This record gives sequence, C-alpha cells and structure tokens, in this order.
Amino acid sequence: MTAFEEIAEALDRLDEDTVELVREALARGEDPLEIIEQGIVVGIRTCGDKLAAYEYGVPELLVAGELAQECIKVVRPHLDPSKAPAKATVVIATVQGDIHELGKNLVALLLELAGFTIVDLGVDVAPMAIIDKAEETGATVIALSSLMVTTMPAQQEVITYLRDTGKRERFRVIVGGAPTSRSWADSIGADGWAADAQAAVALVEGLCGSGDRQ
Amino acid sequence: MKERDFDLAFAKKLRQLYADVTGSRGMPDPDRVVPDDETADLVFAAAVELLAEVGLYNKDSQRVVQVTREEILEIASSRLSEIELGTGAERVTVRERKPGSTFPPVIVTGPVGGPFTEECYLPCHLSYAQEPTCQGLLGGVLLSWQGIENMAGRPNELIVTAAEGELIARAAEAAGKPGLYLGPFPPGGISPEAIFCNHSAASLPPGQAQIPIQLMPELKLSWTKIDLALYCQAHGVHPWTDIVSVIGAFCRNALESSISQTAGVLGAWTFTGGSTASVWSTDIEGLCTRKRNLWTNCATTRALERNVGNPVFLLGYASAGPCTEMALLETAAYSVAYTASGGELIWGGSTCNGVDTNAYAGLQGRMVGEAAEAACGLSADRANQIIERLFAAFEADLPVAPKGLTFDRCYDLDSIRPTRQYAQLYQRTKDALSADFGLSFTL
Repeated sequence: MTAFEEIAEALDRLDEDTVELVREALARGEDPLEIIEQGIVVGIRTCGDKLAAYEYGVPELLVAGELAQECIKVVRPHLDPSKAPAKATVVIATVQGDIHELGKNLVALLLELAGFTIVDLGVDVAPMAIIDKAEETGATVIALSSLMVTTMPAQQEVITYLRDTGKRERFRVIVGGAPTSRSWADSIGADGWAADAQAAVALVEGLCGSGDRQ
Repeated sequence: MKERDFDLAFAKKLRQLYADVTGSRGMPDPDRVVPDDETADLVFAAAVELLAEVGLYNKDSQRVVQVTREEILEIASSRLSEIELGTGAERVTVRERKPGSTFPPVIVTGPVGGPFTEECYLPCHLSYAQEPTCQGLLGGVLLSWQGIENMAGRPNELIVTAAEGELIARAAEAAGKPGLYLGPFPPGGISPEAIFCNHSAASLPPGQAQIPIQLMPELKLSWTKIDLALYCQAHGVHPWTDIVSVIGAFCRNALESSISQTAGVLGAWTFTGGSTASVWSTDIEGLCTRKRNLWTNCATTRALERNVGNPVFLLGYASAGPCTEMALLETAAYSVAYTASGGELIWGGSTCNGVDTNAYAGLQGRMVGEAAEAACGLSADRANQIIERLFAAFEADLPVAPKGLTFDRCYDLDSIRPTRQYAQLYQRTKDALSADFGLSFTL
C-alpha cells in the first residue's frame, strides 16, 4: 500500500493517526501536492460516498473534515504556492423566512470538503445580507436553500436584487431544497439547481470550470 | 455548548446505542415494517438513554436542557391515553390502540401542506372532507390570495394563511361537517405571528384545531417552540407535538432514526405539555415514502404504544400523483402499516410528496380510510406480508414516481366528483388490492 493510500484509508476510518501518517509521508519526501490530491482528497471522497450510501452520517463527515483540515495545515508549509490548489468562494444561506438548515449545512460541508471556501450565513437571511457578503468575500457562487413553497420566492428575490443593482453577472446563483426543481431554477433565472448535496458539489465544480477559479 | 459539539455528542451516543441494540439481537429485519415487541422495547429503552444523556439543545440560548431518566419516565407515564378532536357531530375520540385492534385509527386526510393555486384550494379540500371516512381535514398551502403572494415571515403570510383558515373551514361546512377537526391551524402557518394571529382570529373551539410544535432534527428546540407551547396552555389547546427525524443526516438508518424520533417525542413533552405524538420520517433527499421511513414511524409507534400508551399520529405521503395506481398502492401500504402498528391516528392522503402544485385529490383520502379499515385485526406477520408485496409493486419507481393528474383534471370542479377514469382506476386498484395483495375491504 502506498503512503497516499494509507492516508486515504486512515481518513476514511476517521483515524486520528491520519495526521501522523501525513507527517511521516512528508518526512519521507513524498510530494506534498500528491499527499493532498491522492491521499486526503481521496479519503474525503470515500467518506462522501459512504454518506451517500447511508453508511456514514453528517457527524462522521464533520470529523473527517476536521481531520482533513489538520492534515492540510501540516502540508501547507511544504507546498509551492504556485502549485497550491485554490478553489472559488461560495456564499451559502437559507433564504429569508426559512429556518431549515440540514440540507444547506450538508451542501456547505461537502463543498468545503471538496476544497471550496465556504461562507455560511445561516438561516433566515435577508437578500441584501447575502449579496453584501458575496461582494465582501469576492465569492463566485451564491447558493440559496429553501425548504418551503412559501420561501421559494425569496430565492427569486435575491436574483431580482442582483439584477436591480447591476450585479447579476458577477455571481453564479444556484438554488436547492425539497420543493425546488430544475424548472423552478430556470423560471427565476438561476444558473443551476441540484437535487442533493453531492449533485450540488458537481454543479459548483462545473460552474467554476476546473475548480480553480478564484 | 456549540451546536456542532451537541451534534457530535448526539451522534456518538446514538452510534453506541445502535451498536448495543444490534449487538444484542442483530439488525432488525427492514422488511418487517411492523416491528416485533422486543425491537419496540429496545427502541424505547435506547431513546430514554439517549435523551437522558444528551438532552435537548436550545439553538437560541445555545444551552442544553438536561432531563433525568426519572423525569422522562414520570412525564411519559402521565400522558393522556385518549383525547377528543372535532366538535358536535364530528367529534371523535382518539382511543388507545394496539397491533391487532379491531377498530381503526382516526382518519385525518387532506393535501397535508401541498401547495395550491387559489381556484383549486376550496374544491380540493371539499373533495377530501366529503369522503365518509374523513374524520379530520389537514390543509394545504395557498401560494397566493387575491394577488398577494404567500411569503413566510412577512405580512403576506398573515393575509394568505387567514384565507387558508377560512377556506378550510368552509370546505368542512360545505361537506356537511362543520365541526370537523382541522389539524394544525392555520394549515400553512410558519411564523408564530401568523399562527397566533390566525388561530386566535378563527375562534375555533379548542378541540377543533391544534397548534403545531415541531422539534427540529435531531433533538433541538428554540424559544419559538416554547412560545407556541405557552400559547397552547393559555388557550386550552392541545399541542400538536411533531417530531421529524431525517435518515441520512445525523441518523444513518431506520433504527437510529426511530431511537432519535422516540427520544424527540419524550423530550418534546417536557415543554409542550402535550400527550399526542405526531411522527414522521424523511430521507435527506426529501423522500418520506420508502420502506425505511415506514419502519421508523412504525417502530416509534410500537415503542410508545408498549411503554407509554399515548395517541400517536402517523404521517403518510405518496410519491406518485393523483389518478395513478402507484399512489393508491403507496397509500394502502402506509395505511396498513400504521393500522397494524397500533397507531391511533393517520394523517395522510397527500400525493407527489406534498410538493407539486394542485396535485392532490380526495380519493386518496378515501383509500386511507378504506385500507385502514381493511387492516383492522391483522396480525403483524400478515400485515408485513401485505406491505412487502405492495412495496415490491412500486418501490423501484419511488424516485421517479408518475405525477398523475392535477385536481382540476381528475375531478369535476362543479360536482366535486372524480372523473370516470379516476373512479374506474380506484375501483380496479381496490379489486387488485383484494385479489392480488390479500387486503379484504369491508367499506
């Protein structure tokens, strides 16, 4: 088994020794970028697959995410800054009037594990607060969650505000939540819709090109 | 305590309880949707342990409300075993049931939160209310009223939910059942302002409607939930204690979800003061119609039935739409499961997962009542055989269920009668349920 496979498997087992394995791999002179891409990212992806298969729950992913962050902290000083992967920033929120957060949190978690920078504004967030934060953080994507038919119009409202203030073209806006659909997303002029958290990650990666857009 | 830390403590304890339960007797058979006595008791014991150890999390104060095992059991033992709903000629007693009980659960039907345009709202609710088996009406959500869009948390919501309340009461009256139980009221009320305002304004007798108090998944509350409980106490309204558990988020499977759901019921009673438990299960992707969702609800029902004896309200949805065989088979499946589990009240008859606009019809409610009646007295084994055969007929299609027809295309809007096509489909499906699935109808 290669060092990368060991790291990936340890992360998948949620083993606290994963960080130590990363240190050992660095000490042996393994490529830091490969430790991330073939070890940590593969391990996280396996955890995501297990979540989709109902073998893991959100808490297991939270632990895996924390472990992965610790591993990356150890690797970062060894990375050549010009080769360091940098992914886009995503501002995510449950829209105004809606306090459901489970789906939104899961999307945020999976995006974070996929390497995106996440700015999670929480639930019941006013349209301008979302737009202001997206501008402030230089976000590429605005992700809007709604779990009720009576809060879906608030997704549309964010897009309307963006249009009214001449900022629509600066952000990719995606929507999701149980009552939403692709046709709803199209009807309000969103850039994309995802049926579940895994699909949301693929959608954001697709919208951000190779995933290296800042 | 940070919410993240509570979530991790919750999951750690739940995983341990799952290992304990499955270690002692193996994983419960997911095909036995109506679980056995031993499983039910293990779920209850695990739920008490879970709640006693992790407590309830108040998201607003970021504090944990701790309850001791003794307090949990004391509160559970003091719940009512029956309550009355509705008024006048429509008053019904929700009585304690057990698996094999020869009398049916109380049947409360409607679109259950499904969205509507203005012109379909009243006739569709009337189509449910007029069914002879309908003992309560659970409303849908009006998308707009007289040009005002329904938007939760805004003044719009007060205006539109006031109209919902008025229309649902008119539907009951038009069906000749003015005292009909109207469930959580107003049907689409989300904000406490809309609920307090429109519940008060409707001046309904306490038994005719309830106030929904939903614990958030998993084991979480907020100040608003306590406000709602205090409103109920002040107005003599029995709170609708509502617990949803999500499979695929903090709970990985039906057993974990049922333990959490049961703990949620026990925890919610500590501040709602209620005796009923409205339970429902959903997957993270939003489907609540799979076998594991039914298993979760039935296991919780059996756990409460054997260890508390309070009225349990069970939610049933169909993924398919009206005027499809699949929606009728799905409805029969959950009605049989809930009746055979000893559930006291079924709230069902909704279709398209409660998401599509105007995709609801009263014949679905008729199936809830007739299938529940047919399932009375069935043993758990016999019920499980029927449920398994029903699921075999539609389970693979759940993620791609047919949408069917909207209400205005499967009912005549003047006479509020199903089209000939829908009536014939209903009868054909009922015949097949008798001949091919072994369900003997008496209604």
